[in-house]
Amino acid sequence: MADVAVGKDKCGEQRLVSLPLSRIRVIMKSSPEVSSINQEALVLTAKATELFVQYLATYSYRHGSGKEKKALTYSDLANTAEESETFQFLADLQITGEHSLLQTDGKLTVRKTRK
Amino acid sequence: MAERPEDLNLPNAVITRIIKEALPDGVNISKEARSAISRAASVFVLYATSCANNFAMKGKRKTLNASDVLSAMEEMEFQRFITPLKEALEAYRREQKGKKEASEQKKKDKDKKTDSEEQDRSRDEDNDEDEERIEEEQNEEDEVDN
Repeated sequence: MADVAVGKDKCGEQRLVSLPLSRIRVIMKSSPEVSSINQEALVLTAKATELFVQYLATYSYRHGSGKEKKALTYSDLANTAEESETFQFLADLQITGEHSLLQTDGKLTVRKTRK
Repeated sequence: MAERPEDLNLPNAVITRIIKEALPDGVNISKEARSAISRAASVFVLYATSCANNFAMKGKRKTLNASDVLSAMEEMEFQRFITPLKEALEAYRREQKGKKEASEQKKKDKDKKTDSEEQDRSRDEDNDEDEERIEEEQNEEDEVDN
């Protein structure tokens, strides 16, 4: 499946989506119950993820204590995951065994407990 | 549920750029914060996919489509994403449509060019338009017969 439809081109011009579709696809397909993904769904998921990154960063910055120092720190994010209902899912999922964001090792593997 | 140790991480450079563009100028982002956001983004993809898949299954479909993703956003309480996502979808569809039309046009142009090149080769150097016309007609007739 072609990933060239959207993305940053060589001159860095703003395109619809910056995140690589191929990688997004890998993550989506790692979910065993998923059979196939239509290209539009892939593009939208990538775009939604970008929006999510923006939202998480700005929310954490605004509500965090790093604001005075003009910095975004790890604790700002950990607080967001714990305290905000919207971002609660980040605290709920078990990732590499323990708490979600509190692991600082490189790889992310997922073990989900679904109700 | 089987555990697969796949690399589900998103590229750091892109994540960093998205964060920097979202925050005010001059804000420093710690490495740990960046890393946490990147992992959160991967988790988000998984969660969204799972959610979208539920909608697909409800619709008795095996393929996730755009509306499943939009429904998932609603479900996950990220309604604020829905409008920009719909806009992105429209833009993407327009782009795809434009590309399809462009490649169809290219093919038409290419076919026309190939025909005239063949005529050039079979003809000698002088530009006899009548001869060309007759040849074209013959070619067309051949095509019709086929």
